[in-house]
Amino acid sequence: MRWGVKKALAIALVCLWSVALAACGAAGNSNSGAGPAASSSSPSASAPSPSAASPQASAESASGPITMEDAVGTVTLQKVPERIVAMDFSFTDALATLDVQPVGIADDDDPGLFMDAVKSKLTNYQSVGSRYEPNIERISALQPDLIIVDINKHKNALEQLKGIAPLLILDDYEADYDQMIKNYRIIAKAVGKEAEGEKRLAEHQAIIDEAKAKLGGAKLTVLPAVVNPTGFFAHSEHSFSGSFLAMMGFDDPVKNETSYPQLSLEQLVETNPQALFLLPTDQKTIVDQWESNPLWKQIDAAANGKVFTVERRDWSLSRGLLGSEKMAADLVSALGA
Amino acid sequence: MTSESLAEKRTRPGRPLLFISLSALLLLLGIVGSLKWGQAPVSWHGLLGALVGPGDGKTDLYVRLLRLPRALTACMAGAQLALAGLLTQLATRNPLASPHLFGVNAGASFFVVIGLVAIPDFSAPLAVGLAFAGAAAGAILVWSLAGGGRFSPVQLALAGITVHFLLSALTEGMMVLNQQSTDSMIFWLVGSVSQASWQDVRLLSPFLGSSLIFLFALLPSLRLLAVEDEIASGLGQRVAAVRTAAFVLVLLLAGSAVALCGPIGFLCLIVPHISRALVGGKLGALVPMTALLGGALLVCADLASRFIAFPFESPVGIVTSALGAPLFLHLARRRGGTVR
Repeated sequence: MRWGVKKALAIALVCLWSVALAACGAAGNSNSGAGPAASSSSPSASAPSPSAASPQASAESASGPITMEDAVGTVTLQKVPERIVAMDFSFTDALATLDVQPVGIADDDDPGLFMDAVKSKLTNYQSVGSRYEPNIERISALQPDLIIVDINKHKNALEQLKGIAPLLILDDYEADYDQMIKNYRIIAKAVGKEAEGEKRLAEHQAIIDEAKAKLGGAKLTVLPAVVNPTGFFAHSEHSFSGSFLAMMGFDDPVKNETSYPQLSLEQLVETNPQALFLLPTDQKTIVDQWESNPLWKQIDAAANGKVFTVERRDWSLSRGLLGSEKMAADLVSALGA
Repeated sequence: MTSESLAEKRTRPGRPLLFISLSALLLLLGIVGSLKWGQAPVSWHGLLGALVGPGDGKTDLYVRLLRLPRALTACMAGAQLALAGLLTQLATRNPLASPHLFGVNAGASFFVVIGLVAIPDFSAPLAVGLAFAGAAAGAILVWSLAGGGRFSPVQLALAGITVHFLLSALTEGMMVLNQQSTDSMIFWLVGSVSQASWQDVRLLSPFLGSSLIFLFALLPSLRLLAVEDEIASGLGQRVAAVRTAAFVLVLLLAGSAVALCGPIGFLCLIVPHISRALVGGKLGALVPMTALLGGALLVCADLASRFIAFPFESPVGIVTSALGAPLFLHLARRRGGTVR
């Protein structure tokens, strides 16, 4: 009997060890993958950039220190930042439109989450891991001179991050489209490219106006929703994509204070959107089961063939000018006359 | 003095029948309420039409395709969890025991989270299979750690709690390391029947049916689990065999319910106690009472969970935990946490 207990205990311990080792292995892999990139990038990035950036800085903001208002107060930077860490995809989207290369990006260790338009502009960056739990070690190893963070998502790490570099704290995670435009102006100013930023915003406005014209003022209730294997999460007009749709002239069928309410099939049928944009996280989602339910056909969007599948990284993760322009293009191709 | 003889003295003859019929009534009312109230308004007339008529308007489909299977799933899962709790308490002679002590919940959660991270085209039916496999793995791990069928209640409690915390820690570790893909599982981890369909009813009913037959066959032997092992052995009872059978039953009942609905808290712990207080310790009355009350409570809790954040769903586990925690404290205080 004793022997049986010991054997079982030993087996349990071996299982635990193997799981722990597997976890270490995974972590080690991601580090070693990033390691060579870091060692090759940091000398090349640090060596040419001061010489390349200083004339640029003197040309653009000869006045020296840059000051701007972020979500918590006034930020003063002594010079144009050269080593920027972006803690979310939205900030990366903004930097990409301004042709600024961040040295570090929190990408949840998955480059597949960047939208193509952003990824093509990124030449050499290092992942600093999770967007939710800032990895202080990986961030400080990059020796940044500006870290762009979100006021809510990174609340608990602000003090620690402040010790590494000046912070630009923005109200981003719960931002709607208008707030995103405000944040864009702040970021453009922080990287010393205020004029370029305004120019890019004017281009953006032209693209949006053109898309609006192509949509021809179609008055539809349109619902974007993230779908995963267990749930359907609607994006109401308080979310980024929902507010963008409202700006484009569509109606939000959910009409609720919550940004990302989870809907049951019954609620979705009651909500009855006229067009549905699904943002799947996985290959198989709850919608696969719902589609076989006769109630699915009771939704106007399903009955009229207006259920579209779009990329979550474009609609929900990028949350910037490039993301909005991709959404506008998707809308035109799906609903345009 | 065993709990049975004590309880029998307190119980008048007609009492168990009264309470059993009352909980059956509560179950019936709960099911009717679940069909009537939800996000979409359904009139009484519409409800009747949906149940008996051939119509297939929206209301009919809501009632027939969403609310009815959901209520039935809640009823079956509630009965299964309550019975699993009763069996655990009998087999371990520990009144504060519940199936999570057998590693069922933690094992199921662990396997589901691993599946979510490792398998690219993860789907809900796959989650059910994985969760049941995980529940079985957790139970077998506890079983072998406690030394097979001859464990003492204390050994089992220690092994169970060790495995529970070990697997929970691993689950949480996986979730922290893979936040992006495991966010969606949080709803499952609190326990919910909101997505139940007829497919779930078809999946669950053979488990409930076979377990009930098995349980009634085992009933005479289970009585002897309440007395000391030595006395039971002296009476010619094969204690280890009965305990093993009870263990398998707990796995069948709790494993399948947890696989479909997630680990719904406190139900397994509380319902056997309420039932025992109402109808006494005689298993002939206690088993049906526990099953009916478990079903009724989960159906009612599920109905209540629709109104916490109306019109949005909340996991039913929140309601059962909110109801269960104060009751649990009351029990622990009254009994001083000792085995009777």
